[in-house]
Amino acid sequence: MASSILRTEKLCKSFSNGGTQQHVIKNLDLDINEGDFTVIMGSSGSGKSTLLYALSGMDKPTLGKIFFGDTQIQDYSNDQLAQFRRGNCGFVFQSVYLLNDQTVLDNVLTGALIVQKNTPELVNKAKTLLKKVGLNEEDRKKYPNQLSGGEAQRVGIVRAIINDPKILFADEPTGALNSASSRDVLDIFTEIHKNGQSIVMVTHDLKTALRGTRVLYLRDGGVVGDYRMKPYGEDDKQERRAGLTAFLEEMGW
Amino acid sequence: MKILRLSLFKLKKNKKEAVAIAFLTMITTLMLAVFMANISKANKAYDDSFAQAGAKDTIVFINKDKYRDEYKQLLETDFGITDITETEAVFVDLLDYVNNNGEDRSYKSFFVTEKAERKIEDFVKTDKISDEEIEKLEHPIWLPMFFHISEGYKPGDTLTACKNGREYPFTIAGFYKTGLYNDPGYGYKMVISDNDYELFKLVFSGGYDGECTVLCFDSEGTAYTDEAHIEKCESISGEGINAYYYRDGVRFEKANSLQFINMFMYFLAFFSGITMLSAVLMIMHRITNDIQDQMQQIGVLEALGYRSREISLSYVYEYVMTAGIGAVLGAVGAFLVSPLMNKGIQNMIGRPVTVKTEGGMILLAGSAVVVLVTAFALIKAAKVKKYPPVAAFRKGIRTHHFDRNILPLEKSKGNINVTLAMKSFLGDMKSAVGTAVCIIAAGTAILFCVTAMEFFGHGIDGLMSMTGDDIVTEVELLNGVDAYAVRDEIAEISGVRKALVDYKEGYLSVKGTEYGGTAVIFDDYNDSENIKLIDGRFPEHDNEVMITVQRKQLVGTDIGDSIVIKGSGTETKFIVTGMTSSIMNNGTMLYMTSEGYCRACPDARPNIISVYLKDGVTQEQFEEKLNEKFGTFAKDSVEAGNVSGTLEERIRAAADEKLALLTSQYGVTNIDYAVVVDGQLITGNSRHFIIKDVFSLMTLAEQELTNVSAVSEYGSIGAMIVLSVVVAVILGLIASSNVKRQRRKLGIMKGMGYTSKDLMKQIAVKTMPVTIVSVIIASFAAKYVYSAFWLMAFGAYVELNIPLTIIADVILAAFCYAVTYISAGKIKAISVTELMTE
Repeated sequence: MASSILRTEKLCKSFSNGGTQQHVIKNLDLDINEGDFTVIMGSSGSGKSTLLYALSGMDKPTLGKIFFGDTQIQDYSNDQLAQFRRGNCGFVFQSVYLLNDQTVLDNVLTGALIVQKNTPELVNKAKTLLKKVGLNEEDRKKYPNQLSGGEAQRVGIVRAIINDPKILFADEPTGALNSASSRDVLDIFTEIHKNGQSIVMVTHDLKTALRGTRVLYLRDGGVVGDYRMKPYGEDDKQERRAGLTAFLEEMGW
Repeated sequence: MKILRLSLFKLKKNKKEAVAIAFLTMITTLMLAVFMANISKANKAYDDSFAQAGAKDTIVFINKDKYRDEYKQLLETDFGITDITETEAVFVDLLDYVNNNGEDRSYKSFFVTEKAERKIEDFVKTDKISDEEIEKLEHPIWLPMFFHISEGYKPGDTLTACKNGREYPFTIAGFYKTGLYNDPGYGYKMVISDNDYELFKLVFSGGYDGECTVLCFDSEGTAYTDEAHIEKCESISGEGINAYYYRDGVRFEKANSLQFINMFMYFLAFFSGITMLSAVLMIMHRITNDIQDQMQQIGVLEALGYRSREISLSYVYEYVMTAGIGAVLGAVGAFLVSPLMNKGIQNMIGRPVTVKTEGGMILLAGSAVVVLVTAFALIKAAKVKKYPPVAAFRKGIRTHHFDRNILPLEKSKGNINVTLAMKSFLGDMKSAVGTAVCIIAAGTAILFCVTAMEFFGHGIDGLMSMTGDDIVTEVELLNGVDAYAVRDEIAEISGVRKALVDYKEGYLSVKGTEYGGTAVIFDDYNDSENIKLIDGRFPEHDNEVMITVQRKQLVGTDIGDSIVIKGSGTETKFIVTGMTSSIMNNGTMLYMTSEGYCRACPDARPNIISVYLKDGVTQEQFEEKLNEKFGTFAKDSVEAGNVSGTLEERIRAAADEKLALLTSQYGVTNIDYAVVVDGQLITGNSRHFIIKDVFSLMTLAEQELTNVSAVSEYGSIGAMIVLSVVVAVILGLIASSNVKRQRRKLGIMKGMGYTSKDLMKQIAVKTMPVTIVSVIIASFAAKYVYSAFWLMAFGAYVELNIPLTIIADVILAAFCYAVTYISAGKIKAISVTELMTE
């Protein structure tokens, strides 16, 4: 049985909105296993992204506990959370968020050098990963504004995994991409997952969700559905799609 | 109206930045307004006190023994002066006094009777005791207003003149308004009773002291110069009168009196210029950043139909409003400071300030600041025109990078935060220019203040080092005493470091100029300790003279030129060998060797021993030892007749009293006496009297310079603090602007795991190259500005304290780092989720 990498107990997150409290996550108990490709789905405003940020230490919960392995992180200061993230987490964002004044290679190394020393091995690793996602030597020298959306997101993925994070978080990574680029990016996620990477991804796209091994459905700040699948490619695609569609329809998606 | 609302909205959004800019403009306005409102105040106070006193612009005192009626006629016939008043006065070069508090004072004094004073001026009395009380006074004295305003004397206080061991107590009846002789450098005119005047005529006679004929007249617009007048007088009489001719004119006394005030005014002007420059650069920097940051909003506004001129104006209004608030606060501050300035100016010149507040000047200063800010804001805000809506939507091309990759990370070594900071700095050098200019300007001023603070921080030592003469204890010998033998004996006294033979300083004229000067005499200038050679070499032969830089500025004399010095009845040619500087006597001193001085003044004899005491030895301790070695000073023996003892002892004491009087006051060099009492022969002589008087130049310097030194020290500290705050505000603005501009980037980096401290360090380190380079440039600039300032204010050469400057550089750089780091703390407020959900 796979061990738990991330766990929450009675997790709550509220926002103050014009004097009234808006409870986005309510008493959420959740367990995410190592090696899983967990997809979080739900309607707009259901708390998907809020949950992702709380789980990843990007944001602090209002109440409740978050365990990363055996370590509780909910009471960490901002700087402790930053140190926690740099050592354990990788992030891929919908808007990519590359540093505009840095080249592709520098963007990747900026993420790496805060954790690791600058060695030829590290630089080679960055180059190899970029090559793996289809970015050649010429592309490495480019600035973000010279890249297509798909290329930029691939750089974002390499930046996220350069430090071999224990868990990779992704927030709508294909949300701003066309279908061809989305497919390429999802193939990379699938490939990474096959190599043992734990992934937690937020999406509202069925095609993207199909790549996961577990789909959590959120409604009103709580998990109302938990659907499990085999790793992508190990079963019939039609059957996989039908199963997930049925689950989502059941959830009211 | 809609534009104004836009500006107000922006102001509300950038409250902290607005406060910082308002602070800069407030400081600028305050200093500029204080400068503009006060620069002419002292001058005006001077002119007003002349008008109120009914004073003429020139007074000449000529020793009565040397005076001839033709001298006055010469003024009429040869110089076209018509209205000449003639009267008498008693002149005493440096007279010791004891004030009400028992403190010793020395003043150059001119005593006149009330009748004489009414001829010289209108004798306008100010504060005084009642007429009944005055009538009861045995020895009333009326002092010029300097004593009341600057020295704090009050009517009814006592002031005791001391000469040759005798005391002449006066009670201050009151004070009067006067034009000339109301200045520490030129001396004071004091009004005494007819009886006291007659007494002083007898007491003060001999040498240059004594009764004088006074000629008062207006010389402005005439051909009169003292040098020309003396020359004509000497041609009539055939004898030298140079040493017995004292001239004071409004121009000279004013220059002497106002030099420290002008120094403070130049300080203020210099600092206000620096803060103005910083404020304008900051505003320009902020507008550029605002336009870049708000590019998309500009696009939206343009798309909505706003014209680029209207959008530009919204920026201009924002900064004009901010600067306007600062200017108003600064002007209010200037109004509040005005009474304090008036008091300060009054204290320094010893004359009442008649203009209370120069409101117009203060408002003009405030308006000038606002106009300047408006002009520069208009220039910068015009940049909005460059961005049509589509370009604005795309944020111009600011986010597009096609440049060479500077400092690629794959080749980087060391700390990633430092590397990223350097990368960011090198990629954004253009924006560092404004920062550099601000730090250079403010840094120059701070380093200037640090050295000035250190200079004045040692009490009067700093100013003393600029006197251009050694400040020593002078032992005046009786005539006929072998000065060289006494020097050797004094040199052996414990506590004495060095003793040199000197001459009683005489005033010499220089032919062809109106600037005569006091002679400074050394056999060997290598023995001097406070005379700095600036150019050329010290005089070594009897035909050589060294002059000051001020003299060069005043009359154009340079090294290699020949000048004719007029001494006592002689005209002697000297060649200028070197240049020094001095803040004393408007820097007109003349430096020569003993032989040189004797050529100019053939009757001069060495009668002064300049004594250099060891550290820690007081004047009193030295005088005690001097007394042990040489016996009672002549001046202290004048009242020796009051001692008790045997008849012979009392007779000898009474004889000593007479001998002392004759030797110390009448220049008698040798007396033998024989007295027979009841068949007993008592004989004696004056040979045991060697020392006439001892006085400390340090005491005199302390009296004149302590206040200026203290005010300058506190002024430097205050200016340094204000400028440090200005630097802190500038750097704070830059840091917060960096955070604001790089909000997105900083959020992304936080997401990657960079802590707030990492990012604060990056922003602080990013400013360090420009800070370090600017501080180094500022050091060089401060070196030149400091020298130029002293040269301009006093004609003195003062070097920046290099070791102190280096230490200050390091502290300044560290201060800049700390301020930037702390100001970048805004990063803490940026959460990653805030960035994602923007």
